[in-house]
Amino acid sequence: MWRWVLPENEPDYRLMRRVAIGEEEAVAELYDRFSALVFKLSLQFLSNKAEAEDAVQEIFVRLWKTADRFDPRKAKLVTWVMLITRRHLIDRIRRKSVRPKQQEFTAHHGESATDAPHPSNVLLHERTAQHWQALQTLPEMQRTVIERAYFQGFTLKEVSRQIDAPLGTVKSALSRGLMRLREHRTRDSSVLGS
Amino acid sequence: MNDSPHNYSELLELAVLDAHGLLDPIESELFNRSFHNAPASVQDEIVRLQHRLATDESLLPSDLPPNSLKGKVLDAVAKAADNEAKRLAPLALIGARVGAARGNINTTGSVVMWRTAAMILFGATVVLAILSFDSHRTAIEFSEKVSSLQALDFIRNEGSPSMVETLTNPLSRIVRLEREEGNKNGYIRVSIFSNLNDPTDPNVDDTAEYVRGEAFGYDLEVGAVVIIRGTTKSGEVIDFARITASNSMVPQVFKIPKDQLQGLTIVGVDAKTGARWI
Repeated sequence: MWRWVLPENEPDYRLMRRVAIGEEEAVAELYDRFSALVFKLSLQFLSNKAEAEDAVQEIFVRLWKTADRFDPRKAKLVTWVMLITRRHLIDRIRRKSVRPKQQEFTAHHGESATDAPHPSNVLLHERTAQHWQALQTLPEMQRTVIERAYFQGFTLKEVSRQIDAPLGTVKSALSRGLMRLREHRTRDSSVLGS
Repeated sequence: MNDSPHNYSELLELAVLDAHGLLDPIESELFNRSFHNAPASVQDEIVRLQHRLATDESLLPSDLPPNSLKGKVLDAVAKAADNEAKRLAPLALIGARVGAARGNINTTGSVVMWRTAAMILFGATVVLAILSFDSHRTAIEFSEKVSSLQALDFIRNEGSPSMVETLTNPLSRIVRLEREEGNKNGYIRVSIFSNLNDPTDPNVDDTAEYVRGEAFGYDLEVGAVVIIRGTTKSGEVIDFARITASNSMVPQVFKIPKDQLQGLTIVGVDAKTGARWI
C-alpha cells in the first residue's frame, strides 16, 4: 500500500522544492537535465522550432508552478517532467483553432491529398518517416486513436464519439498502440544498430 | 487492490496513457487513487513502466535546443515569479493602510485640539492627563482593530479566504521571527494552519498530506531576501519559502508535509548575509 514516508533526502525531491520557491540555480539545473527531452517532444508536437522554443519556455514556467506537487514516491522526476510537458503540448494543440473536421476522419484519414492535415501531422510525415511507417503497421483502430488523441489533441471522449466506440475500447487501443509503436521503433533501432 | 476502481491490467493501461498525458483530470485522479491502493510491487512496476516511456526517445526528433534558449527560459520563469509577486502585491497596501491610520490618529487636528483644550481647561491636573493618554491609546488600538478587519476583508475579497482562516484561527501555529542581531526593524510572521478539517488535532485528517502555511514579512528592508527554514525532529533541514521584500508587507504561501510538523522548529535566514531571524 501507499508508502507514507516522504523521501526528503531524495535529491530530485529537494531540487523540486528549491524550484518551487523560485531558486534560479535550481531552475537552471532542471533545465540542464531535461531541456533536450522537453525540446524534442515540443518539436514533435508543434509545427516549427520557434513554436517549440516558445512552448519550452511555457513548460518550464508550468514546471515551476507545479514543482511542489512532485512526489518521488509516485514517479521519477523525468516521468513528472515529461508528463507536464505532454499535458502542456496537448493543451496547446487543443487551444489551436485549426483542427481537422469531423468529416475528414474517413477510413483513409490523414493520407488523402485533399485533406487538410494538422500541422503536427505534417511534421509527422516530414520529420519522422520511419515513425509514420511504424504507425501504418498498427491495426486501424490503434492507428486512428493514436493520431487523434496523441497527435491531434482530441480528448479520449471526443475520439470515442468520433469513431463511435466505447471509451474503454479507445483507452485500450490507445494504450496498446502506443506500446506497440514503441516496441516497433525499439526493434528497428536495434536492427539498424546491429 | 482494495477500494480500487481499476484492476491490474486496466491500471497498466492507464499508466501508459497517464505517462503520455492523455488522461483527463478526473481519470487521472482515479488512476492516482488506484495507484495508491495498489500493492507496492505493482506501484514499482508502474513507476518503472512510466520511467521507460518518459525516457523513450525513439519517437522523438534528434534536434537539440539552441544555446540561447536557456536564458529565455530562466527569464520566463523569473518573470512569472515577478508577476505572481505583483498579483499578491495589493496585500502590501494593507500594511500601508495600517500605517496611514496610525499617522492620522497621531496628527488629527481634533485630537490635538482636545488635548490642548484638556491641557488648558484642566491645566496640570495629573488625573486628566492620564485619562487623556488612555483615550489616545484606546483610539490607536481601536484604529488598529478596524484596520485589521479592513485587512482581513481585503484579503477575503481578493480571493484568499483560506489565508483569512489561517490568520484568524486561534489554533494556527504562529511564529514571530526577528533578527538575531543588529537592526530590530521589521519582522516575519509565520503561520501554520494545523488542520483545515479539525484544527484541534493535526493528525486527524488522514487524507491531507500537507498543511498550509503563510509567511508575512513586515517592514523588511527593500530588497532583503529571507529564507524560511525548518528543522525537523530528526534534524532534517528544509527550506519552505523565500520572501523577497519589495513592499512594506510581503506575503508568501507554502505547504508543509504533515509528517514533518511534529517537533518542527522554524527560523529565517538572510539569503545574502546568512544572518538568522529567530
